Amino acid sequence: MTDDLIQAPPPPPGPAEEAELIRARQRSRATVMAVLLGLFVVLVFAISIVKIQLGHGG
Amino acid sequence: MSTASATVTLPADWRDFLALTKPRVMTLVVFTGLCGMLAAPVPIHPVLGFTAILCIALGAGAAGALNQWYEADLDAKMKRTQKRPLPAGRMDRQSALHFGVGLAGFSLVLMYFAINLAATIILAASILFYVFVYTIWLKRRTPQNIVIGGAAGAFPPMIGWAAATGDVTLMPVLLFALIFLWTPPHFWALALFVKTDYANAGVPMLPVVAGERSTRIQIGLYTLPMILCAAAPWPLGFTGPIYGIVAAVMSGLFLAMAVQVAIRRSEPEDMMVPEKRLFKFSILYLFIVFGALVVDRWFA
Repeated sequence: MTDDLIQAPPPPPGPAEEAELIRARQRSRATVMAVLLGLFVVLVFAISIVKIQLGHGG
Repeated sequence: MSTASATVTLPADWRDFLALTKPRVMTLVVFTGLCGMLAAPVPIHPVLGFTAILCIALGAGAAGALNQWYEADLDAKMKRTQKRPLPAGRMDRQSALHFGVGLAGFSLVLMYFAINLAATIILAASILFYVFVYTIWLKRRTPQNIVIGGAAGAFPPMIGWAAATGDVTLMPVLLFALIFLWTPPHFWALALFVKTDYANAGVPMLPVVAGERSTRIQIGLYTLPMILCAAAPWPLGFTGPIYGIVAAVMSGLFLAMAVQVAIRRSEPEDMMVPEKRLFKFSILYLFIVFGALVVDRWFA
């Protein structure tokens, strides 16, 4: 009886929609990666300064 | 081992990679690592301290990712873990493997160049132990899986200490022993109220293999050496009275709850309230005891 009330699963995306979805995922991953790499550069810079200050720049 | 049930066509979202690192487990790892570092007699520069904690977090995340890579089939069978990225089909196993290995390598290289060799070796040992000894070797074979495997989670304070001092003395070994002995009562309390889930997945957790009675007794038995390890730093002169008193009070409460669980028998449709209480308190216990260690070192 309640079967009528259960929503059908959304139809699978078409090729164009899927390609757009893949591009969106890739864009968000690339953005996160860019931010992390930027933070890593800052961290390496800070570590280098501290190591030089502490006298074990090696 | 089988592959995850759903077919993956889309590249995984970055949030799925984050979920792969088990951020909630990482909280405790980072906290105990930080406390081990701050309790060390030698102060560490804040930038280097941050880097060491970052490496510990990344190492723990890598171990978590590799654990989920290997256990995708088990996770698919348990309600608690079914929504993880691999069993839910949001990521392919190869991506999880590459991510885990890459993150582990990155954390070790950064730890070596920024901090020191001792901390790097212990971090490597903890990752390898968690992945190979606990996940691959023990977890599916023996009910003692979390006893021996618990060592992996006990390394962080030792890594933090080694990052600050460059070596390992008796004090970090005691902190290691405290977490090592804390792990069985903590996990077995959980296993008592999620027994069905573990049984369905075929994981030989102690309540499934040896029965509830034996599990309850062992919770009580492991609690005794655990509270001795928690109390030992004060009489041995490694800490002051702030830590000693907090550790004694918290250990007394832990023991009372563990004894209550140990002597109890569950009824049909039992809500397992004492077991759930012990599980929640065990997390609070570790946070407060390690927090007291830092307060004692810096403010006593």
